[in-house]
Amino acid sequence: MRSHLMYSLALLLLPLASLAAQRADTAGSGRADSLRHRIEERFAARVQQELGLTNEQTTKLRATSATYGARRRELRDRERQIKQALWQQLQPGVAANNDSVSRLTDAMIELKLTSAQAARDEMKELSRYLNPVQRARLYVMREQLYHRVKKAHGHHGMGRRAKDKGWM
Amino acid sequence: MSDCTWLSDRMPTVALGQGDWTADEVQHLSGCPSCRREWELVRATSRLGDRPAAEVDIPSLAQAVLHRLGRSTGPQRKWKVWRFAALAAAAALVGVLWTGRSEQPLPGSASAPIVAGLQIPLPELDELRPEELDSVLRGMDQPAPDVDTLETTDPGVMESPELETVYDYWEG
Repeated sequence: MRSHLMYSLALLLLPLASLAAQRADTAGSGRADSLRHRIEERFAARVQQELGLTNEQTTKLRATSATYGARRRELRDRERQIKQALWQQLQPGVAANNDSVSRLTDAMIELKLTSAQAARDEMKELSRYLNPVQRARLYVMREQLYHRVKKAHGHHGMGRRAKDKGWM
Repeated sequence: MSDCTWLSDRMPTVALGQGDWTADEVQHLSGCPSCRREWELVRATSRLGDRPAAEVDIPSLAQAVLHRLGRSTGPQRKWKVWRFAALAAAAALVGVLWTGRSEQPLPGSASAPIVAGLQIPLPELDELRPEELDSVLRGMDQPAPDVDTLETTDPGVMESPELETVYDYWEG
């Protein structure tokens, strides 16, 4: 009788727990979006200030950043997919498919080269309207931010993304 | 209806160009200082939209209107003048601001177009969780990390052909 009651109670509470988890996810996602937006905003403001951009340069940099930002996002998504597939192949105790591993490794190397080419194209485009010092400052500022991102990701993500560590 | 009241009622029509003074009305106007002052006021407010908004000294105009109203006679006339002045002023302002009557740019719009803030998307943040993002955000207020972005300490790397390519690229 008592177990029946507990079972009924669990059935009743399960949807509520699921709803609560969903809400927590949504709230977390909303907070993450807001934080991302704040970081991007602050970074852009610093770039604008430290590089002393003119209105024309700001307009052009915004366009370049939008184009290559989308490209980098696309490449990162692809990289994540390849890493996941490769990770599944390389799990201990599971026989790896040599063809798949070979294709995935080649794809990863190809992706790295594509990313490097995209970075080169972006720098070339920047050189059309930024002077060499502005371009170098932007490069350094980006590197510093990426360093912070990696540090935060590594520090907070220890254990959580141990499988990604070798690929970061 | 007295001549003054009659004239007061006719003023908006004449000021807006929808009618003309008759000979009798002109005669009354020339001999009645109160009606003349009121007519000047009505005529002035009806011309408000002829000038760009920037040239209209709103506080002075308001003061002049109040001053002249204070000198006009009878509450009925005051109310009519007020109503007309308010309507004319509102119409003139709306005209200037919205119909593009003024071809001169408004103050602040004469300089180069204002460019909205810079936006730099950072897809590198996509994978970060809120606490990690928070850490990055807080870190942005601290001194820049010591990152080897432009200098390399490994002599072996300095000789690498890849680096030569990078140097070639950076030098254009």
